[in-house]
Amino acid sequence: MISIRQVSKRYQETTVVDQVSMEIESGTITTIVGTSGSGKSTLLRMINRLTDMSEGEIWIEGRNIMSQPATELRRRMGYVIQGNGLFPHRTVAENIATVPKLLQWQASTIQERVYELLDLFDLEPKQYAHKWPHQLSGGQQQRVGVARALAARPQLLLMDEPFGALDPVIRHKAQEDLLTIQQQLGITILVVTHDMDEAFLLADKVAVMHDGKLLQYAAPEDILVNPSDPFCVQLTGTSDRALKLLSLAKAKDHLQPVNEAIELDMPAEASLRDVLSELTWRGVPITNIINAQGQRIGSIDLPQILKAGQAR
Amino acid sequence: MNRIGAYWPWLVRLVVLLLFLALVFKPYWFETLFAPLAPKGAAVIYPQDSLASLTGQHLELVLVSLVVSALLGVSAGIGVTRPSGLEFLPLARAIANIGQTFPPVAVLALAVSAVGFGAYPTLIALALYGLLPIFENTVAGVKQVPYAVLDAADGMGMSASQRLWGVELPLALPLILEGIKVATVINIGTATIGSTVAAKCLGEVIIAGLLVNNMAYVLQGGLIVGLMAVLIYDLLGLMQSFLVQRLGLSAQVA
Repeated sequence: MISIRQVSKRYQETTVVDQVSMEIESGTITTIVGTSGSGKSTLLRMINRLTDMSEGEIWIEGRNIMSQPATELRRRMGYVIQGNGLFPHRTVAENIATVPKLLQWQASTIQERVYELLDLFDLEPKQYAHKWPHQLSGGQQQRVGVARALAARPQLLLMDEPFGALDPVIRHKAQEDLLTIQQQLGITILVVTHDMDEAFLLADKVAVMHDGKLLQYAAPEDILVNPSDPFCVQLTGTSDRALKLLSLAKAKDHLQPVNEAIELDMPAEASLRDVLSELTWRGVPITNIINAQGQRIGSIDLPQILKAGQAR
Repeated sequence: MNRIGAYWPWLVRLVVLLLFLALVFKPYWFETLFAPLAPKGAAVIYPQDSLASLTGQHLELVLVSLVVSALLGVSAGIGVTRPSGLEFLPLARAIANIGQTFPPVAVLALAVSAVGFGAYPTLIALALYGLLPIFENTVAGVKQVPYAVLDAADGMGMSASQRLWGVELPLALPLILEGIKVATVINIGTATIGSTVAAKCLGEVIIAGLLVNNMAYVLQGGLIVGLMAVLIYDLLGLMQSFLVQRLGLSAQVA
C-alpha cells in the first residue's frame, strides 16, 4: 500500500501540489488525470523522489520513502516516461539490464531475466536483444521501456504519460498489454495521463487533479455517476457519459437467461458499449453471451443496456 | 554507391599516407622535384636534422599538449554542466576564450620568460590554444543529451557518477571528439612556431628556409605538416563517424 499524506510541492510563490492525501491499494492500477499544469506528474515524481516534497510524507508498504537513499528507493520501483528515454548507446538487452546491473545481479541471471522479459513483450529475444533502440518502431521502443522498468521485479511501477508518443492503434494495444501484464504480475501501477479514456480504461481507481489539488479519488464509475466537482464533470465530458459508463460495464455482469432463438453471440468480456454498438449495427435488440469456451451463458437486450447506462 | 565508388576514399587515403611516409623517411626521392626551388649550390633537402626525427618531435609536441588540453577541457566542461558547477560556466568560458584569442606568439613570448626556451613554452601555448574547442564541445555534447534519457537514468536509480560515466559522457563523446579533432588540426599547424623558441619541430625546416631564402625547405616542411594534419583529421573523423553510426546518433550530431 502507498500512503500519500498531506503532500505539497511549492516553488517559491506557486503551489504545484497542494495538500494531497490518498491511499493506493497494492496490486491495483491507479490513474492520475488532469490537464497540463495540474501537478499530476509532480505528484508521481515525488513518489520516487525525482522531485523533493515541500511538505508531507509518503509511505510505501509501511516504510517512509525518506528513510533510505533515493537511488536505492528508485531501483526498487519501475519508472516509465513519455518518449521512453531509452539509452541510445545501449542495445535493447543492455537497456533492459540497467537496473539489475545497478543491483549487481550475476551476469547469467541478468541474461535470463532479459530474455524472459523480451518474451513477455513479444519481442523475439534472438532477433531483438542486440538491436539498437533507433532500429525499433515506436511501439517496440515503448515496450522495451516498460520491460526495462520491470527488469528488477519491482512491486510498484510509475508511468508518466507512457503512451503519449504512440499513434492511436498501437496505443490501444499497449494499454491492453499493460492490463494483461498487471494481471500476470499483480504489481501496483500508477499511471499519469491527460487522456480521460485511457484513465478510465486502465484504472481500478482514478485520481482527478486540478490546480495542484486532488478533486476526486474514486472508481471510474463513481467519477461518472457522482462527480464531486464541476471540473470532474468537465473533464469526463457530458455528451457521451452514458457511453463511457457502458464501456466500464462488462457483459458478463448483466446477464439474463439464454435466448436460444437468437443467432448472435458475443464474448463475456465485451463491454456493454461494444454490445450496444454491435446490436445497433445489426439492427437487432438482443444477443447471446458466450464464455471463453464458446458456451452460451446468458443474453443481453437493449432495455438491460439502457438501464446500465442510466444516470443514478 | 557502386562497389568501386566505395573504395575511392580508401585509395585516396592510402596515396596520401604513402606520400607522407615517403616525404618523411625518404625525402631524397623528391630531390629532383624540389631542386628548382632551391638556390644554386644550396642543399635541396634540409640537412641539419632528419625530417623523420623532426616529424616525430612535432607529433610529440602536438600529442602532449593535446592530452593536457583534453584533460583540462573535458573535465572543465563536465564540471560546469554539474548542478553545483553551473555558475562557473561564464567564467570558464571566458578563460577558454582568452586562451584562444591571445595570439600564440604572444603566449610563447610570455611563456619563455616564465619557463625559458625549449619545448615547454610551446607546450603551454599549444595546450591553451586547444582548450577552447575541446571545452566548448564538451559542454555542447553534455547539454545535448535528451532530457528524457537523463530523467530515465535518474529514475532507474543511477547515482550522479553512474549517470555521468554510463550515459552523459558516452553520448557526448562524438562532439567531444569533434573538439579534439579541431584542436589537433589547429595545433599541428600552430606547433611550427615553436621552433622560434627552440622547440624541436617541423617549424625549424620552414623557418630555416625563410632565413636562407630556400623555398625547397619551406615547401617540404609545409607539405609534411599539411599532410599530417589532413591524415590525422581524417582518422579522427573516421573514429567519430564510427561512433555516431554505432550509437544511432546521426540525427543529433550531423
